[in-house]
Formats: sequence, structure tokens, C-alpha cells
Amino acid sequence: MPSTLPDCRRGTLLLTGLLLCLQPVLAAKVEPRIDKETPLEIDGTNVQHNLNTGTLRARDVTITQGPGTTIRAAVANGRGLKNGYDNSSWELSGAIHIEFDNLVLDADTATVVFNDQRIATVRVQGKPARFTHQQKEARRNEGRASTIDYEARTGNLRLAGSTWLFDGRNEVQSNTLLYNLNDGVISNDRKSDDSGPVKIIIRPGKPPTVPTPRTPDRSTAQ
Amino acid sequence: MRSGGWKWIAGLSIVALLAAGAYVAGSGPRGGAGPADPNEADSAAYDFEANAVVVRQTDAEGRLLYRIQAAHVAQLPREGAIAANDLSMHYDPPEAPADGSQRWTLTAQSARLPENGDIVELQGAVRVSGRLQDSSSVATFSTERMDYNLKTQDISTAVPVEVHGGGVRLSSDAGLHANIKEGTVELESAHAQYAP
Repeated sequence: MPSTLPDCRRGTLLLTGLLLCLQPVLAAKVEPRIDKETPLEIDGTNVQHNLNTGTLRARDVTITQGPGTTIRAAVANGRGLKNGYDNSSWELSGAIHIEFDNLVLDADTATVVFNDQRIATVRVQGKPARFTHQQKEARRNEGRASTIDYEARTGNLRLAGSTWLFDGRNEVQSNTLLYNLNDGVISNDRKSDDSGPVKIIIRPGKPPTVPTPRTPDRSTAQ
Repeated sequence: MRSGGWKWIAGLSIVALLAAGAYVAGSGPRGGAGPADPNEADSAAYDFEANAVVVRQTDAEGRLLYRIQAAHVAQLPREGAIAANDLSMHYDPPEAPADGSQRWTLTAQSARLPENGDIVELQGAVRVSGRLQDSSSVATFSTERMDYNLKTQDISTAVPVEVHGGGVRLSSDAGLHANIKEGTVELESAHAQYAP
């Protein structure tokens, strides 16, 4: 049954309890695979590239890096492209769809930074921005928030603003949440000052269903 | 360069030819035999034609602006345009160092240089390459047909083109518009590949 807990401590305790429930499911640790071999490919229209300043602007853009990383947006503005794409940053807007490391992000605007030939940070914003993440050998988790920040160094997704996180059965709602892609741990953001109420919905597992015995048809009953 | 500035090319070509002692056919109608292959309308006669032409254009201080080398040059009688074969051209941008480190080089199998205008029409294995500003990287444009505006340094083509430089390879089937002075490249639709 849903319960609203305005007390931050109680919320944290409940969140911890939820995490304990989810831990066996989320325990499969996934190391993100880093693709440093293949180039960054960009397809787009109305492409404007300044070779002197290392900037690129394009519409209807698809950015790919190998088979695992895809970024699509209506408009892309890239900077730091003077000598390749390392340390480049991309301001994206319109119908954004980002896929990498089993993570999918959909949003209205985004900033993607590449470092060391891979995605280093992503910030997406939307009304709301959404994510799904497929844990290896575990269920798929999804969530939404006004802002979602990804940091490759920690593997954290930070959800801020009307956040909602769903693991396929249970839900967590709060102002801010941290979800770690590597170990699947969900926690409240201790660095955040925005410690609002936490709402947790824990749904019990369904008992095994036993088919109801059929009532014999009168016409065929003997 | 003033409008109609291509007249100097003809003049300088002749001067260069005389100095070099290269083959020169004097003014007046002449048959179209030779390695040049201008269009049919113009092939009947040239105002002049010359082989192994080298043209140098300097600014008021004597600094080299352009150096054009062509295996064959002919002035077409009707519109006064100049047709050149096996053309290579070197261009030093304004304020570029005198050592030629920022020199741009243009090569093409043939070129047509209108008498009144700044746009050179290039055809056949066209390559434009040069060093980008504030960079050690060299940019190269490759295509089969290109218009090159000597005054504005704009280049444009409507046929497939590739651009290499600054760690990127840009390609387009629909051509591009670029300015080699500014380093800007505009493509209607393109594929870009950044090497790791």
C-alpha cells in the first residue's frame, strides 16, 4: 500500500529497506565497456563545421561510436573538435535519444562530454527526462526526472526534480536520487540540499497462480 | 582582387612565357591543337596559347600572393576566358608568415578562368589543401569539380566531396560550400568521422 513519509530519516530507512529487498536482483555488477578503438561517426544535415575553431553544428544528427553508443538529436552543437573528438562537448536539443552501456536516455535537451575517447558525462533535461537501464542478468530499471546526470567515473545516474524510479515491481519517488549503473544501488543524494519527502511503493510478490477448476459443462456432465 | 582581375593572369602569363622562353603562339586566331581541351565552341581558335606557364602575383610590398603553374594555357577568343590544364596554384593568406607554412595549394586537371570574374572553375581530380589557422593540421578538399573564388576564398561544389583535416573526415554526396580563409565548411548532408 502506498505510504507518504515526509520525515527524511524514515524515508531513508525505508529506502535502505527497499535496497535490501532489491539487492539480490541488482547485485550483478556490470563494468561499462569502453570503446576506444572505433571512431566517432556523425551523420546529419545542414552541417556547418569550422575547422579553425573546431566547432560543428548540424541538424537531424546521429552520432555513433561502435555498435554500442548512439546519440540522436534534432540539433547538435559540438565544440572542442579541433583535433579529433576527445575533450569535445555536445549541446543537443530536440527529440534526444542516447544509448550506451545498456543505458537509454530520452530527453529534450542534453550536454554530452567526451573524454579519453568515451562518454565522460551526460546531462539530460526534459519534462520529464527518462532513462532505462538493463542490468546484466537482472531486471530492467527505469526512471524519470527533470534532470538526469550521468558520470562515467562513478557510474552514477543522479536524478533530480520530481524523480521516479521503478525496478519492474517497486517504485521510489523523491526530489533527488542516485542510481549506480555498476552495482544497481539506489540511494538518496547525500550531497544534495534538496532533501524532500520520499515516497516508496513496495509491491509484494504475487503468489503462484493456481488455475481455477473448471465447472463441468452440464451438457457433457455424466 | 578587382572585378575583371583575371586580365592580369593573361598578361602575366605572356610575360612569364617570354621570360621562360616557352612555346608561345602569338595573338590571333589559331587552331585548337595541343593538350588543352576547352569546350567545342572555343576550340576553333585561341587568342593565344602557351605551354609551361608560371604566373606570380605579388602585393604592393612584393610579397607573393599567388603562384600559378599550368602545363598549358589558352585564352578563349569569345569571352576572353583562360583555359588551363594540369593546374597547380599556391596561395598565401593575408598576414600569413612568409615561410609558406600556411600556404594553400590547389591542383586540378583543368581550369577555366573567366576574364571578368574571380571564380575559377576547376575540373578533374581537384584538390585544395592547406594548413589551418593556429593548428598543425592540414585540411584537404577532394572532389571532381569545384568553383574557387580567388577574392573571397570561397569554394563550392555540387558533386561528391571529401574533406580531411583537424582529425575529421567529412564526406558528402551533395557537395559543399566552404571558405578556406575562415576554415568553415557547410554541407547540406554529410557524414563525419573523427578518428580516436
